Amino acid sequence: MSEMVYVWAAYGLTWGVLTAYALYVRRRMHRARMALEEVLG
Amino acid sequence: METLQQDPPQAAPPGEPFDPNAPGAPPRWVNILEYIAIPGFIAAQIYGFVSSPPDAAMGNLQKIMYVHVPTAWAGMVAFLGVFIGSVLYAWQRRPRYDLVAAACAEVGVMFTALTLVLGAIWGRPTWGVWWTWDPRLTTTAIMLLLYAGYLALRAFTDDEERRARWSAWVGILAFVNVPIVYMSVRWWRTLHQVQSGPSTLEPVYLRALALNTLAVSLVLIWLVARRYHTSEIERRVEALREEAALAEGGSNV
Repeated sequence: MSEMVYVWAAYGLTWGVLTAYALYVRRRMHRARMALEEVLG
Repeated sequence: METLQQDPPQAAPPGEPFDPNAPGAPPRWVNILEYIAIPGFIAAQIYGFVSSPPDAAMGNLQKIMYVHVPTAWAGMVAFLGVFIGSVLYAWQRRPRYDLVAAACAEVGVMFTALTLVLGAIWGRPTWGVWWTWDPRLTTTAIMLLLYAGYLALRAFTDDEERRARWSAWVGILAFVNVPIVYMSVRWWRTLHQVQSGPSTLEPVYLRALALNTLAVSLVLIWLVARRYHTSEIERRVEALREEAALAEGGSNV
């Protein structure tokens, strides 16, 4: 296998995992803020 | 006379940015950091990928260093954050330190798991194996398991005080392994090379590595800050709900 396949796999994985985690944190914060607004009325 | 039709004010879309004055809005510095960390990370990655020539021994596989080393660094710094948060909680018993430690642990586990997989992707074409029981790899895997255990422990109890107390002790004890991971390549000189730095790298590689490490460090701080802030809001919501339930129960008596 060409060495560039490994390089692309490494960069793709890094970007994929970081993006997925950042989106997860963003979504969770959004939900928490919605819940807070609801509780505060 | 022609009048300009103005669109009515729209509600904030799901996600960020919200109204900065709304309840639960993240601190301003976290939003500013987001605008620095994300473009900074993209720029550093492109710089590292484009600027560094193929290495004489490893060829283009050397470029994996710009993701593997910064994520490994970020994982260990995050675990240092767990340790500091845990010590401060054990000492002062303030819930915010427990939340900082938990945020650092979650982000650290994400970075360390990523580091191990990136190492395997680099190891296969370089060493000929995806995994070997090299001291650096083994101690890193143990570190990942310890902090995954820390996160699992937090799910065991709903009692906030007990959860924070248990977690603080695990957060302090688990940190013993972090310096061992860092020094493992010097104490047991086996397959994994020693830390990359000015003495082991050409300036062209060192520059790109330093930039990427700085960029990932900013991403780490940003993610921990967001995660901590989210936990703080969740805690506040829980407290308000409990308060409301007690008030309701009291009024029914």
